[in-house]
Amino acid sequence: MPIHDLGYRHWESNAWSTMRWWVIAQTGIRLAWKSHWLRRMLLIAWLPAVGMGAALFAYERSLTADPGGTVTQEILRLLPNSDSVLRSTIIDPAGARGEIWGFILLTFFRYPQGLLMVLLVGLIAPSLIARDMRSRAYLLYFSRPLGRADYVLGKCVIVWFYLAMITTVPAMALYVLGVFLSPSLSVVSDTWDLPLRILGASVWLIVPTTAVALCFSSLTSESRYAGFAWFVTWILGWVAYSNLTFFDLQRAGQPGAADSSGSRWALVSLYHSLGRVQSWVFGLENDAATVIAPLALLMLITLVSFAILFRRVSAPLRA
Amino acid sequence: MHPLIRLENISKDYNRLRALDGVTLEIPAGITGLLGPNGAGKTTLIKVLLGLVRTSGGTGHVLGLQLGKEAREIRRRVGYMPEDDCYIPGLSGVEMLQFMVRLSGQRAIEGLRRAHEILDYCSIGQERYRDVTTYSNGMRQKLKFAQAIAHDPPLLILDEPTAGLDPAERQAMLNRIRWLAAEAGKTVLISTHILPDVQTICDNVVIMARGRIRLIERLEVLSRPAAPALQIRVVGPAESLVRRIQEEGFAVQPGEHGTLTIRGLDESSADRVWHWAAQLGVGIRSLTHAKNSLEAVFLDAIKENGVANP
Repeated sequence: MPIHDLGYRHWESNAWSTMRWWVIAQTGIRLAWKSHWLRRMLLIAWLPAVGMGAALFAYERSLTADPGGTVTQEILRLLPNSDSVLRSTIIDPAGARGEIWGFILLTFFRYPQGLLMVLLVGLIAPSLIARDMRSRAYLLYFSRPLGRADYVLGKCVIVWFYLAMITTVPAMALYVLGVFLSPSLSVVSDTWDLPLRILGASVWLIVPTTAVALCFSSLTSESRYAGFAWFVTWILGWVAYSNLTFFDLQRAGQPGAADSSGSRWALVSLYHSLGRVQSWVFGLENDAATVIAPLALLMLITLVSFAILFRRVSAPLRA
Repeated sequence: MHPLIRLENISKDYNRLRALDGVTLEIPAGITGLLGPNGAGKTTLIKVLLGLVRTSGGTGHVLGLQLGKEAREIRRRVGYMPEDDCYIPGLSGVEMLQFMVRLSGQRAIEGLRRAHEILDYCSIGQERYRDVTTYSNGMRQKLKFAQAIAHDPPLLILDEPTAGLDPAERQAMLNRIRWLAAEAGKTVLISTHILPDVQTICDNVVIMARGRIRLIERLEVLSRPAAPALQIRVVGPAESLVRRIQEEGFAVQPGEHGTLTIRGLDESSADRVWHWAAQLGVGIRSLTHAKNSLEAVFLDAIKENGVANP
């Protein structure tokens, strides 16, 4: 028993904040942070930034120490899908600065962070709404002056926060590090648009993936089913894309067929659709025709996911 | 007295099922018991009051605020304790309460202070630091009650507040509700199946069945029998006293736990009963004026065409 029990007292409850979504987000972020796996994942997320930082440093150094750009070419060859950037580097290593930086940042987004994104969202998002349904917490939430939009936004911000921690923040840090490591100040004028492109690529990555993950979470009260659906979506999409492009290439039997086949089948895989759009955001995909379809697909998926999400969130109350 | 809840002809349809059918009622300050068999529409009515479901027709006001249009403001001023076992997973008791207070728009530090204060009031000790998923049913029940009163709402809607509590905790819960209504000026609407709880603490009773209001009345009026009657309990055999009362021309009806209801006698005639008992050497343990049983009133109210049909 308390030493000094005040009993029940009236309380001046002048509402201080109407940002109730932020209360949900803050509490969710704190709860997710309790996971050891999540903390490890966030730590690991910074390691690729170190590698990419080394690549940027080597490129910037080569502009003064290695005018032929052989070191840069060797580094770029280590990165996947670097053919087009390599061609630009051979023609004009200094003139391709913006393209090379954009390519390194895209690689950072696409490969290490892409994989980490799938794992991280699969770790935190499936339980966010499913657990509230299982514990009937929605009755407590919605007995307060809280709307569906507040609830959904609060849950989204939890995922957005952690996704930004493994994509936007390391990418921005990588950019800043690259600028500081560059021997020439002209790097700022050549790459000033990259922070904006990082933000754009982050939005295209974070918003649709969060919508899909929370949509799965809202469809069941068992978070393991939501997690299963999430991983299956990515794996099946990736496998389908790989197989379809492989068969296409075999049938065509010509080297140039890879690009056209890739853009044709990108729609079957969320991962590859995202890749196309991010590539366009970083200015590496100039053919608008190959981007419109993935762009529309991502928007459609986002809208449908949010529509289902909003409907499912209020469904238990209507019952 | 000015009604805090006023509904006019409220109806609610779930596809083809009519959950509320022309509900019109006024609930004054004090404690009101909302009774009804399963499926009577009590929970739907509560959801309508909180603005969680849209009505199919009718209008209403809660605390002077219009139903539907001012739902958020209503929820800011109402404390709701759901019947279902519900909690925010992953949080401790005090964290959950602080979270709920913050959802009402308060600062984190203020929410924490209030959470501790209310947990003390609800007799939740060191368990407040444990994860709520480890709580027993009774503890969760107290925590649900605590979150309902934490933001000091003028109106409390409590759905089965004493379900799952042991007798001592049940009594403590009823005392808290009674105190909040009498001393803190709260208006309380209790939905329950436990009729003795209603009889113990409620001022008014609303009985629903099949989505309709069957009865709204003050408990005091409902408890009053149609004709004057006395209720006595005797020590030992009562046959001789019963015979004597019947010889005097009054009907005697035996009840539960050895009680006898004497029809036609009121409190002013109690001396006569004492006199007869003394003459016969029968000891009287208690003598009170008879009350109608709420159970009988309830069963009578939910009768459909003369047949009890929930």
